Amino acid sequence: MKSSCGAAVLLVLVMIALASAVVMHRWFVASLHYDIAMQRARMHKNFYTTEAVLHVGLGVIKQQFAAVTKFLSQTSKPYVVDMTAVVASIAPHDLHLKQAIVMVYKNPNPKLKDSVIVGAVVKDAQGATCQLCCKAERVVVKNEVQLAISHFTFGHFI
Amino acid sequence: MKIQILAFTLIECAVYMALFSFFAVLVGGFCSSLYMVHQQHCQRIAGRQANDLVLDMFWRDLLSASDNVAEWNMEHGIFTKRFCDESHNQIETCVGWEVFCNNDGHYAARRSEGIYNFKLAQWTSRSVSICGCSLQSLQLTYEMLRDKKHIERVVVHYVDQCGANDCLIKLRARRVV
Repeated sequence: MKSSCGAAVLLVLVMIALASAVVMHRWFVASLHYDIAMQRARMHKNFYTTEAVLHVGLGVIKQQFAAVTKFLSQTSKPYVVDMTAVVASIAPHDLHLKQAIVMVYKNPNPKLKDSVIVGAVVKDAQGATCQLCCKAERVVVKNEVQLAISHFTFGHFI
Repeated sequence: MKIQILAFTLIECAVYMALFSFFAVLVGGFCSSLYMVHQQHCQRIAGRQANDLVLDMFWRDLLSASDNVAEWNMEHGIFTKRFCDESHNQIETCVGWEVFCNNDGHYAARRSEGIYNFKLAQWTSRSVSICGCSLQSLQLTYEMLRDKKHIERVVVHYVDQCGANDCLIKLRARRVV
């Protein structure tokens, strides 16, 4: 009686161990898939948030283009626009973004006087999450001043 | 009596050993099948990661792609890319992506970068980098603007182990603010 009871307990333990192994394996595989999907979703969210910041920043720079180019001609430092308020209003809350900066640099090509390099950086608690930059060139279309965007570049450090 | 007990003990031992062997084979077989499934999953995940890496790199190139139709060769997946380097210098280069099958039957993506003559449809000079993946084909089609000179969006059609997929990418070139 005792031995049959022991065998039954042993059988139950073996079955539980096997079932646990199957469940653990499923969980492991699912977590790997989930991790990859989460990382990509996060990367794309950061990208589109930074692109929105860059777009808003370009609108601000368009309004102040003369002042920006004057500032850049006097110094080698970039012209910085703090867009943190924009990030707070547009970024998904799960990204926990802290700061967004738009920086305007002098174009290294001296022939292109009416163009600047505009870069947007979005940061969270750990540091920069995404960086985008582009060339913005002032063009006049039908007596209206516009910024033509080209050389759109995804950040180098990612 | 002693011989009977000894015989009984031997028979008992044999039964226990047979039972143990039976369960050992059962558990071993189950564990090895589990391990095989695990290995297949890991290979599938690694393949998927490689595909994601290739597609992300391709997407990154397409973000800086020119929207001028004359600077594209859709058939061979080659286009002109304009971007800024770390020192903000403006760089212009041609990039081509294609998927090919090795002699051993494995698929890989080939990225070419250099100078491409779009009129003669041939590379003048290029550097090639290869990334292993399980993509089986990679094709491009585009949607043009009304002027028929500029591309608005590119459709990337790719086939992997899960089947055919389409990905729509809007070009960021020459936006006006």
